[in-house]
Amino acid sequence: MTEPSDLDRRRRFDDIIGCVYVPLQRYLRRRADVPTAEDVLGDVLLVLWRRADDIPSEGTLAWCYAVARRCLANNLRGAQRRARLLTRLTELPPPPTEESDPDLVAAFDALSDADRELLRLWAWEQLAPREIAQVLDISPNAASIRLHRATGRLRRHLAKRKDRPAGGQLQGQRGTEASR
Amino acid sequence: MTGTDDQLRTRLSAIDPLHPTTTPEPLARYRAEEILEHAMGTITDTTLTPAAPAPRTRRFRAPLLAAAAVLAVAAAAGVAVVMTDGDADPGGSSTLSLSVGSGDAMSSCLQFDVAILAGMPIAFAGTATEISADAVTIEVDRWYRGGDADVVWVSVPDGQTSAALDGVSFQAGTRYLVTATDGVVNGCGFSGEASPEFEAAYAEAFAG
Repeated sequence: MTEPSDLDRRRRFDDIIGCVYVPLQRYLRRRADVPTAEDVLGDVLLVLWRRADDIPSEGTLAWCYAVARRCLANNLRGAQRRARLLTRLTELPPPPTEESDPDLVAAFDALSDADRELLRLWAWEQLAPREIAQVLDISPNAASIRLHRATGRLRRHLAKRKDRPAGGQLQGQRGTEASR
Repeated sequence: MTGTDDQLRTRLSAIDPLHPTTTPEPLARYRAEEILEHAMGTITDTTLTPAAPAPRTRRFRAPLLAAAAVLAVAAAAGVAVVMTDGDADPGGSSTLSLSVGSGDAMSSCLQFDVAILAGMPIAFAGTATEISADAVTIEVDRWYRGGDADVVWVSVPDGQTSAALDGVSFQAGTRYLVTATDGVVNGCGFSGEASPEFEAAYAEAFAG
């Protein structure tokens, strides 16, 4: 097998970026304000370019998410940037969907950071457990079990809210009798 | 994945702040190109020539070792599977031979669910006592289902350098919870290092 030419590398990189650019952008925008997301996206692209030969052809997107996760963590480590993020986060509009499913939003917010991140990767990035494992650098076994537990905890939080007499006003089909 | 999981996932996706109906303006195209050009221009000289590979995380290419196809058929269609247990000795101290799957066996991975776990024909807990080039020896301390052997040998398929579960190598002295289907150890969260949480899942799945 011959070494790929510079042109081949560039083409492959362009192809990869074409596939992962928007998903990466969305990943970062879900977790940071716009300026931070832009900064980190630049960092991610830099890393991807440096490591173009390491990018796997299988599981490419999850691999790139893992890079983005580390770049975002690096970015947030800086106290100054963290302060900027917090300032800007306060300027972000509330999630517009919150009113449509307040029970779920409240149940989701009641979870730990780790649970929330698992569920984000699962439901927002639409990753399978083995891909989640790749992003979080844990074993697929651990990812599967933690995801299972996280969904279980989310359901329990939802059930608690459902059982509250004042809860679930938007869930017309639900019974209103409190069981506890 | 169960229908209930699908529903929960769909419901969760609806509170995604970047849900298609609420997506904020994407980065302008010129900004994207600027970032990309900056990224490539910064290090063109060093990256376009073959360089020492950057450190990489082994797990990125770690083979996934469960026979998901078998699992999927068994779980979805309820097809009975037959274990390969040629070494099993029906009387007294006995051994059971299993294998970890080949690296390409898992094109898809069933999401962990206690209900699926409960359908596994072989399930036990034990401690890895010996790791050799071609097999891992596990001394069983508890059988949940499908056997009574004292020792289980997990062999390494041809072409693999060591026995591993989901890309993580077995460690001597570590306790594992293991399920197997058709003589092949299941990964995908259905086998792995013992933890209170994992053991609780086994207890729930194989209760009674």
